[in-house]
Amino acid sequence: MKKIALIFFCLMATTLFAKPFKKGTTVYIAVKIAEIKKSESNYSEVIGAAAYGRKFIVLESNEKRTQVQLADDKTRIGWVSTGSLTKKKVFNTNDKMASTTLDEISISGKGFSEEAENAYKTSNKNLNYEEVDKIEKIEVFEKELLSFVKEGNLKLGTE
Amino acid sequence: MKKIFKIAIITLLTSFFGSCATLTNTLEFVGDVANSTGMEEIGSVAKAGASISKATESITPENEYYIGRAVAATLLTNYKTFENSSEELYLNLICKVLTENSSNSEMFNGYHVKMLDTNEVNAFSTSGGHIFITKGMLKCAEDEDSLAAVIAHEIAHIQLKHSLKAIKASRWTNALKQTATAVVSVAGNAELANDMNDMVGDVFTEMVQNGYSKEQEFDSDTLALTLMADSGYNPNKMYKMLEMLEKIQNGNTGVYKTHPSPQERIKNIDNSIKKVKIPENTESFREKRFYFFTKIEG
Repeated sequence: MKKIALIFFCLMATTLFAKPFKKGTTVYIAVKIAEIKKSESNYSEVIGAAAYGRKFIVLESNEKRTQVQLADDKTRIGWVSTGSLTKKKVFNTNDKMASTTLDEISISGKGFSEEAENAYKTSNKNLNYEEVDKIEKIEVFEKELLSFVKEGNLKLGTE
Repeated sequence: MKKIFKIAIITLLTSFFGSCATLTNTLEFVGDVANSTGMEEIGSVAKAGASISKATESITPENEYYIGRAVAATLLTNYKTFENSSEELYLNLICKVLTENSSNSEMFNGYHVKMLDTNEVNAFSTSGGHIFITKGMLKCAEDEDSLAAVIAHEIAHIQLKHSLKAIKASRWTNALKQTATAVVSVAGNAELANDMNDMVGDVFTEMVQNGYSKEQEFDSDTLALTLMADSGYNPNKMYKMLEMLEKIQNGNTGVYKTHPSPQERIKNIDNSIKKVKIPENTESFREKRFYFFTKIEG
């Protein structure tokens, strides 16, 4: 068991960090909603948002931020955080703008999703999903974060 | 000693493989190389790792999120939450600073910190990004940087996917087999619900009953040091928290059977902290607000 752990740890360690992507790579949004900013800076204006599974092409990338171009509309360009992207195709059945085939929709059903959770809730009525939903609504606003960092003399990004 | 060098060389060679999607290929490659060069032990271990990896590779960020929600919903049947919106915001701000400075992949729906209403000294985290800290644990922190140490440790467990690793590989392959049909029917979802139940069970056994392995605890402490330093927090405050935990536990290893003692964790940190760049000391800037936000704890 220890050997497996050792090999796993060594290899996992190298795959842990969000590495910059090569120019031209196809990437997908790997978070529920990703903010798209005008420029590379942490303090830049937000110009849009992209849902889980949306497809982009990489124009420029570093460890923290990546400039992307919407695969379906090359005029739409912006910056997202590198950690919100993945090369592995992910499907979002809720994203009506995502170009998916029937096969892809069926694959997206694999594993756990909202539907599976609903079935789980039905057979386990004592679970406290209400509280989980409340917890996920806790929000930290950008302005609050920036002043918290400034007043506490902490760091934010590479700036 | 020789074997360790061989493992190290293989690891170095394979460390050029960047993406998680190639982990299976990497392990299979390592397995083939090892087998062909007479290191059968490593070969069979790598091959075993490849099949575990194959199963876990199909887990999407969304899957991880829903598993995490199930774990959180279950945990919250055992614990009551503690409501104090300003202290809660404070903890979430600290969490946000730590994660914004991290270069690791983001969580599907972000991170959220919630306090639990118990004097038990404990903290939990899920693959859904939920971090729970008890009132008892919060009372142990003397300053913001110590609080950051606790939160950073939980963030590390999440980023290192420790709760997911507790889930038996066979559960994933079962779940994926069941959704092979084109349309996921209601019956299909009921099967998945059973799988979810088993998976949550696996996570609970590890997280709540046995505790994570020593290696996992050490890895989380090590990563936490970097998360803290990158945000401007003093990583040395990790020592403070562990010394406090030791005082409370009075030499017992507490509830957990495999949990390392604070002394063992301190030893590990002594090693890991050498590789961390300690930021300039700015703790005085955070003193006042710590007292303001945590005054309820007194």
